[in-house]
Amino acid sequence: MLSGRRIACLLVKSLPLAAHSRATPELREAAFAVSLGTGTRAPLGFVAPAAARMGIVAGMTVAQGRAVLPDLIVVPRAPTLEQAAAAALFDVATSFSPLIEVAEPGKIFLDLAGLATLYGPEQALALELAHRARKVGVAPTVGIAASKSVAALAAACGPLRVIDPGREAEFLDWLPLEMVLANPELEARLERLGIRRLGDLRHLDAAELGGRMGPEALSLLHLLRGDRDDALICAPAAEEFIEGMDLEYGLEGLEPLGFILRTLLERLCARLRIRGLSAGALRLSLALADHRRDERQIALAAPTHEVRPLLGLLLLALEKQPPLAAIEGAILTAQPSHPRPAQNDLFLPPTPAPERLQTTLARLAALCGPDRVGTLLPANSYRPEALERHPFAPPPPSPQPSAPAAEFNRMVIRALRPAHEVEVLCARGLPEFVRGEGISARVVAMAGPWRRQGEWWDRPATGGFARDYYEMVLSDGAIYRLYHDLATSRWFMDGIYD
Amino acid sequence: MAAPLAQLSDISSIAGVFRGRELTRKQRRLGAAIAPIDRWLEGGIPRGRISEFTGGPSSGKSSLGASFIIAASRAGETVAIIDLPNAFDPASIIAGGGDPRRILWVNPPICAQVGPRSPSILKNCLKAAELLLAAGGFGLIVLDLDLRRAPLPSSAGMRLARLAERAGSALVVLARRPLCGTFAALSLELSRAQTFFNRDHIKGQVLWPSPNHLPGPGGRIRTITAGIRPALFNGIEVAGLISRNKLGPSARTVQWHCLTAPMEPSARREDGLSRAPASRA
Repeated sequence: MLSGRRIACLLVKSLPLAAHSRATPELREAAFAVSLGTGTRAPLGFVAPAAARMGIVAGMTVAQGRAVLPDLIVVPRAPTLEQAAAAALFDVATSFSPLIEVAEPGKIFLDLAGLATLYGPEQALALELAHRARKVGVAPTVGIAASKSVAALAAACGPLRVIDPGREAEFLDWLPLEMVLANPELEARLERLGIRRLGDLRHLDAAELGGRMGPEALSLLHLLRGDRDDALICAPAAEEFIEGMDLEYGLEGLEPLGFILRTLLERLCARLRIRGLSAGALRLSLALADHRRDERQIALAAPTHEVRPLLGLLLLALEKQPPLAAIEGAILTAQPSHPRPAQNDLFLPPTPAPERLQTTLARLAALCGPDRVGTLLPANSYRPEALERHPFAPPPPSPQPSAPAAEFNRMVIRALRPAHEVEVLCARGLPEFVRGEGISARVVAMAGPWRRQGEWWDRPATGGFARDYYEMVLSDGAIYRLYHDLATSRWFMDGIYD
Repeated sequence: MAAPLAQLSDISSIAGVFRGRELTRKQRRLGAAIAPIDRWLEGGIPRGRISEFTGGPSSGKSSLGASFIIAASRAGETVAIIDLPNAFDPASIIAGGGDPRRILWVNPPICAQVGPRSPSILKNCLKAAELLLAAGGFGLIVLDLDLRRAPLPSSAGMRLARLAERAGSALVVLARRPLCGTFAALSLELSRAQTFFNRDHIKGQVLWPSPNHLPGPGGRIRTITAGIRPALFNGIEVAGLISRNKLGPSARTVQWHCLTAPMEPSARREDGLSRAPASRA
C-alpha cells in the first residue's frame, strides 16, 4: 500500500433515490420507489429503505408493489435530477480538494493530502464532508483509507468510516465476500470451499487462486494485500452548474413556476456557495407542453449566489415575455464566476465589500431592471444625450493628493430624457415664447446659439444632425437648455440647469 | 513627552491620517471641496445622517449635490445616485473632475414598467436606498426625488436615518421642498440670487479667454425686449440658507457662484461645442 496517502470516498448508494429525495425533500422518509418505465407493468428499479421495510423489493412491477403496499409512491427515473445530484456531489468534493476522480455517478474519490491542517483529524474531515454534502441536498456515506478500494469499501460499510493507517488488513479481513464480489456464481464457489470472508483468502497462493477461480478472485487477493494500482484519475471541474426538474403536469401560471424556480435556484446557489463561486450568467430552458423549448439568457448586473435577486430577475424576464404554452420542465444553468477579491486600506476610504456589492447590484437589478443599474458614461458621440451604461466595477481606492478647495461651484444640467418637444414662438428670428407640455413661459433672457453637428460622415444621405443650442431663462424662473433641430425645424428642450 | 505629541500633531496634517476621536462618525463630515460651501457647512455634510438640499428649478441644488459627488469620487469614495427623474448627467460630473467609475447609477422605474411587482414610485426608490445603505461602504448616497412633492412617510424617513447611521454613509436628498422632516440632520434651502450672462470674469476668475469675441457688455440679465440679446450664459449666484441643523447652528446664509463657463480655456472645446457664426448673434 502507498504509505502516507489518504483517500476519501463519497458514495451515494442509490443515486436515483437520492436524486428524487434531493428534489423533493418530503420523499426522504416516505415509502417510495423509482420505476424503470411508465405504466403499471414497469419494474421497480430502486426501492427506498422505508418501502423495503414494508416488503417492496427491486424487480417487482408497479402493480405488484402497490398490491403489497397501496400507499407506495412510485416516481419515474429522472436523468436530469440524477445528473444534478451527481454534479452536486462532485461540487462537494471539489470544495475540499482539487484531486478528484469520479469513478461512477454517485461515487467520488478525493485525495486528502494536506487537508489535515485545515480540518484537523480525519474523523472531523469526514463529518465536514457529510455536513457539506447535506447542504447541497445529498447524503453520501464517507470512507477514508489509504487506497481507493479500501476507502470505497469503508464508505459502503457505514455512514462515516475512517480506516486508520496500518489497520486496513484488520478492516478487510472481516468483510463478507458478498460486499466485495458482484459475481454471485464466484461467491457461491468460494463459499463451497468455506471462504466466506475476505480474510480467508489472505493465505492462499495467488497463482493457484487465479488459475482455479479466475481473475476476479485474484483481484480480491490483490486488494487484500494492497497490490492494486490505486492512482487517482482526476477529472476537470465542471464549467457549468445545471439543475433541472421535470414536472408531472404542465404549469400555466408564473406563480407556481416561481416555486419551482426557487427550489432550483436554492440547489444551484448551494452548490455555487460551497465552491466559493457566484453565478455570472443564467440560462433558463423551459420545456413547453407543445414540445418546444423556451430558451432565455438572463443578464446579471453582477455575479451573485443569492437566491432572492436571481429569482427576481428570472421572474422579471418571464413577466416581460411569458412562455407561449404550459411548462412541463425547467433546466437552469449557471455560468460560474469568481467573486472579485479586494483588500481595503487602513488609510483610504472604505469601499463596499465585493461580495455584498455584487449581491446588492443583483438585487437592485431585480428591483429596477438590469438596464437601470450600472455606471453611466457619455458615449463616444457628439450627441449630448448619447450615454452608455456599463457594469458597475469601481476601481480600488488610491491615495489622491488633496486639491485646494475651489471658490466656484460647477453648474450641472438636469437632463430631460427623452428631450421634450416644444413650440418656440420667434419674433424677428429670435425666440420669444416657449410652449409645450407642462410649460408655457416667456423668454426672459437667452444665450446662444451654439451649433453642434455630426454624424454626417455616417449618414451622408441625411447629412447627420445639426442643432443650434440655446440657454434660456424663462419667466417660470428656470434656466433651460433648448435646441433647434435644423434638419426638421423642430424645437426640443433637453435639460434644466440646476 | 511633548516631542512625540508634537510629532503626532504633524502626522495628523497628512491626508488620510486622523486621530482616533475623529473616527466618531457623528463628527466626521464629507466636504464639497468648494471653499465657501465648506466654510458655511463647517466642513461639509455629516456622514451617517440625512442631509436634504431643497429649492426650485435652477436653484443650484443639483449642482451642490454634484459638488459632493465630485469631491467624494475624487477622494476615492464609492458614490451612489438613485436617480428617480432619470436626470443624471455624467458629462457634468466628468467636466467637474469627478470619477464616474466610482458612481453607481440606479434609476428606479417610475411607473409599473417592470410588471405588477413594482407598482409604487417611492417604494422602489426607498427600497433601492435601503439596499445600498445595507450594503455599506458607500461614502455618499444621493437620492434625487425632484419629482416628489409630498413628504416622505415617517416610517421611511426613520428607516433611512437608522440605516444611514449604521452604514456611516452621507445620505443626500435632492427635492423641491423639504421631504424628510425631523429625520434630516441638515436641511438647506437654496435659491437663485442672480444669473450671469456675458461675463468675461467674475471676482477675478477668468471665464473666457477672449472677451473681445463676445457681444455686449455683460454683467446683468438682458431681456429681449431691451433689444440686447446676451450670447453667453455664465452661471448663477446661489443663495443658501441652513433651515435645519441638528449638529450645529442653523439660519446661516451664504452666497456662492455656480458657473457653467469654463475654468480652463480648453474646457469648452472638450465639451464639443462650437460657436455658431457671429451673424446669428
